[in-house]
Amino acid sequence: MHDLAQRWASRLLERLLPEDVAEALVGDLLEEHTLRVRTAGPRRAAFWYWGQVVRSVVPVLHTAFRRGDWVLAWVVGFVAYSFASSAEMSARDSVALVATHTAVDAVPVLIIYLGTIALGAYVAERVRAGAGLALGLLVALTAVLELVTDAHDMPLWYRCALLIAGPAAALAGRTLLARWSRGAPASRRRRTVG
Amino acid sequence: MAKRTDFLGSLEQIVLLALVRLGSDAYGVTVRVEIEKRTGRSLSIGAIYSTLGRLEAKGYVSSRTGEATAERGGRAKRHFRVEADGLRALRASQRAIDNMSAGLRKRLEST
Repeated sequence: MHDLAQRWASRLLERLLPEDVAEALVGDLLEEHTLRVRTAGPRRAAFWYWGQVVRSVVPVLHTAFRRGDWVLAWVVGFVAYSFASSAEMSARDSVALVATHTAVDAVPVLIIYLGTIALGAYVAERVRAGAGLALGLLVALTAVLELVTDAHDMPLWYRCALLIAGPAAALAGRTLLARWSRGAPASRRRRTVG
Repeated sequence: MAKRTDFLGSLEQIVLLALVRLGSDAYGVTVRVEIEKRTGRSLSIGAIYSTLGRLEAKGYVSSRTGEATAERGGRAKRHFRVEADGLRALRASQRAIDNMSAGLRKRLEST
């Protein structure tokens, strides 16, 4: 049985990759992990598993972009990002009119921003495969820049939350589309063996 | 006139050679393990699939869905095989390396 962290790591790869590749790739990882548990022990096998997941992310992202025509995916992702950023700015201006406490004001702004990112990723992914992923990367990149440059008037917790929740919202929007377009969750469709 | 064939990258050549060696048993795990055994390079499974995807897009490799097993969490295997164009590209790349390194053995081994 694979622990919860490993299941999450597998799910992350499954979200990033097209379905046909994801099924085979994650299956290969689990198969070799099971072999390594027998030969090298569970700790070393878990270490190997995590090393594989981390090292696979970059080539996997590269493949995902190439499959979705990466130039167009970035363009659509950027349009969705501009839309989400405009929504954030409008929300910030609106909230500033009725409240004055920055820390409290930031909560509804963050909720609106994350909702727009998720919606943006959903729409972007509908338009072009890989665009939702591009949006997630753009959100992560700007969140890092804001953390480093301190250019925003938002509190530190807001910027930290955005760094984690922003890309997660984009992935959630992308996943939503994948689930709806398939008609059923992947876990329900997966064949049961053994 | 002969069809012009691409030169393959070193990882593409290594992956194609692994597929040729493994024959009908070529899928992610066996390809990764074969490369590690023969070259000492421990590649990530993501890098293997990225390379295979590139080769498949060029028509050098084809794939089919295989069987699912319990240790794979019920996920199906994806078997790969080298197509005639892939073998041609592999031969051309190997020949290019052979031609470029002809007569250089002493120099290459002296340093």
